Amino acid sequence: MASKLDALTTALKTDLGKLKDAQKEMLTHRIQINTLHTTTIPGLYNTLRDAVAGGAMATIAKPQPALDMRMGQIDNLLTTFNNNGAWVRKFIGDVSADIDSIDTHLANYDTMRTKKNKSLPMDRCEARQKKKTAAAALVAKARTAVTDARATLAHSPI
Amino acid sequence: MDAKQLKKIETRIAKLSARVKKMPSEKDLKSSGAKLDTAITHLAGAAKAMKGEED
Repeated sequence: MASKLDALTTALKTDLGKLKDAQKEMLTHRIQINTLHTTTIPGLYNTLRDAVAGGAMATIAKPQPALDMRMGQIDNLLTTFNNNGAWVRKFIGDVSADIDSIDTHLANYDTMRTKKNKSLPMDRCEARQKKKTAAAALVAKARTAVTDARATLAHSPI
Repeated sequence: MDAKQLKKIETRIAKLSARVKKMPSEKDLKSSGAKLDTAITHLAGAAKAMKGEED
């Protein structure tokens, strides 16, 4: 039977997986926006500008709708990126609550251990305490990693 | 299409550029993904460390 900590960490890993999915989507959109911003749109703009300078209606007619479409595309991607950021800001609260549950469980384990220690040999007590300390340290590292990731993902609206 | 309309397009591009420049960079987003992977690894380690000790 899975331990309580297993169940709690599995729930947190599921939530972190959802955050990871959001992060992947934001990265994909960032790359698409970068291409549009640095290559596609400047290219179309330069073509349009040259066509306007040349004054021929036939050459102006082509790049203008393409440029409009690409600018609309980048606008939509920026909106989606913002929506993902808003979702991350909201969801990060759930992840923090998951980590708090694990912390509480480990704190409760201390109480439980104190009661059980009476019937355990000293070396066994020490071994249990070492395991608990190691687990708590890893959970603390996980919390730090999530906090660091949040700083980037839960960005201010752009 | 005249110079005035072209100027409008330039303004729209400039506004989009300003928004893009405020975005987190690709590098930052990749780094955040690596940090989430780290968190998941640490959690797996925590559960493993406590294996069989909670009953």
